[in-house]
Amino acid sequence: MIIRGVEIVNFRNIARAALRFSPGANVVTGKNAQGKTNLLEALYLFSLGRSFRTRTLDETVRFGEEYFFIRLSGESDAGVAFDIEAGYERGGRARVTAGGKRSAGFADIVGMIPGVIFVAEDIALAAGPPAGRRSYLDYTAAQLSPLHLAAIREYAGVLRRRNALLERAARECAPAAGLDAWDEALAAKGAELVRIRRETLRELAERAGALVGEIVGPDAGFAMEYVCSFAPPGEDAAASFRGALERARETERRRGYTTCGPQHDDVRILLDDAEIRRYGSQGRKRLVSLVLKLAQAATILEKRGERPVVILDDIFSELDAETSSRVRERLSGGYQSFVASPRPEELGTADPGTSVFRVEGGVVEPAGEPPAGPR
Amino acid sequence: MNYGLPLLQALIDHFKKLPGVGEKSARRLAFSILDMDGEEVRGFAETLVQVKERIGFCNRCGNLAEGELCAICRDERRSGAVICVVERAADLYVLEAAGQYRGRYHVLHGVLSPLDGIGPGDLNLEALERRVKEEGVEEVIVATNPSIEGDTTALYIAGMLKQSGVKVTRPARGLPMGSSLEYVDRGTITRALEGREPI
Repeated sequence: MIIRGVEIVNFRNIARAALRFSPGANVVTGKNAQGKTNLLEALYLFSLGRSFRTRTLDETVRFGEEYFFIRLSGESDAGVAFDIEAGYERGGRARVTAGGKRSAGFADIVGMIPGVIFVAEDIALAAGPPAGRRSYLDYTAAQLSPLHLAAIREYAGVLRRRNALLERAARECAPAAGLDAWDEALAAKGAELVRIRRETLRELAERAGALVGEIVGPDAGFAMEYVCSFAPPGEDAAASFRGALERARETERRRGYTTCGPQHDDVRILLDDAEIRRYGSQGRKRLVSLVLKLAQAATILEKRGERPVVILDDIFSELDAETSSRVRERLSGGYQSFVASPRPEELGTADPGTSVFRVEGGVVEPAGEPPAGPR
Repeated sequence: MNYGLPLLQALIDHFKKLPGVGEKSARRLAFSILDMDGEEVRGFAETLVQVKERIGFCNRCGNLAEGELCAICRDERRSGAVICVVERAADLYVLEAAGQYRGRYHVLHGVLSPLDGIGPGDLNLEALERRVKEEGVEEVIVATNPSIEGDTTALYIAGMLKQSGVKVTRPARGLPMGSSLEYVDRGTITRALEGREPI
């Protein structure tokens, strides 16, 4: 997928911008707090279906304004043009139009533009809290098939309803009538979610393994495995989940919420045959985090047959020069990228096919052109 | 504005309570009532009152009925071996409009919905269990909506009827007939592809 251009009105500190992008690398430069990340956020809204920085869109409307509007245009790898518009008015619902057709909102366009994002916090992906690895898996899965996305949402939906039932029963000291049916539904959707995550992890692990092999060497002792909190591999996950729910029943009734399920699962990552979370050096943890993201891009490319757009928000300052150049080498392998950096000179912006944009006080302009005079 | 005609305004306000009727439509409807002849209006008003007074629920299936039993339960030609379970009476009329189904119905008057505090005790489920036991039912088709609530209600019914040995089924999901693929959402397409059948 290639994003050819974007028009932005009133998003964060960007009052107005109309930009054309390079199909290769796009470097966004400027001092801190000028709006570099805001530009990346506007692009990524269309991939994730929500902001990577906030859950409330109200926050993203420019200060003192009532709405934002963003239009993206581009084309698929097969050369089919697309056009997506999104408008949002404070306190309202987002209106999203793809190819002239109204869709239900941002949630409806998740995965339409495949994307991989890397922000500074993602450095902790390999060794940080399990929630980061779960959303990494889910987000990859969602981009591979709308059926995966539906399964992820359905599990969350059943969980929310089951929790509401338990919460009410605990509050009113009454039996949770109909709980069996919700257990059944949760077990079925949970097993499906685990199946999708395992399958997605297999794809990711294969590509991550190859990348680690190239960077660290052939005997890097790298492996990734899904750690299901209620069912060992090979066991019927639905039956195990039902069993776990049955055992947790008394606790759950008392506490008023669901205490077990795939929302407690994790991914174990081994390097040099040891769990990286416990035994890895800082450098190794960062390297593997990067590899996971690159594997995500490679998996989306191969399984979906569409190149994801890669967004890197000021991550090179976190990496040593060698790792940073390896990452750039990988990316030049054909992904369109958007890279924010306060020090673009380190990124080799002189490469042909690289466009540079300068951001200052919310004004985004292609670098290399004379600054606009007073209007 | 009430045109100095509080009665007319009251009529407009009544119409506005109906689904899909806004200020403008309500005004149009009210003026068209004014244009009717007196006899016709009397008949209309009488019908409104009678509808509310005389239509209740069928004692057997929970469908709308003008007496003890609804028209479907009274119809001897319909098979009692199959019961189709629906969320509300309106769904029953949609199925009837297709003209294909010749069994009987059972109306739940809702679905299990913890977010709204609706549990099994709030639904017309006991009567269903009794009917399955007493009426020689062979199959129960659970045609609740394909939503989280509808699906879980179907699971609940399957669990409730397990002992009875009756067959419990759910209608298939797939592409809507006569529509263009272009207008079908991605989730439905993917699900339809998964459930494809040989020709």
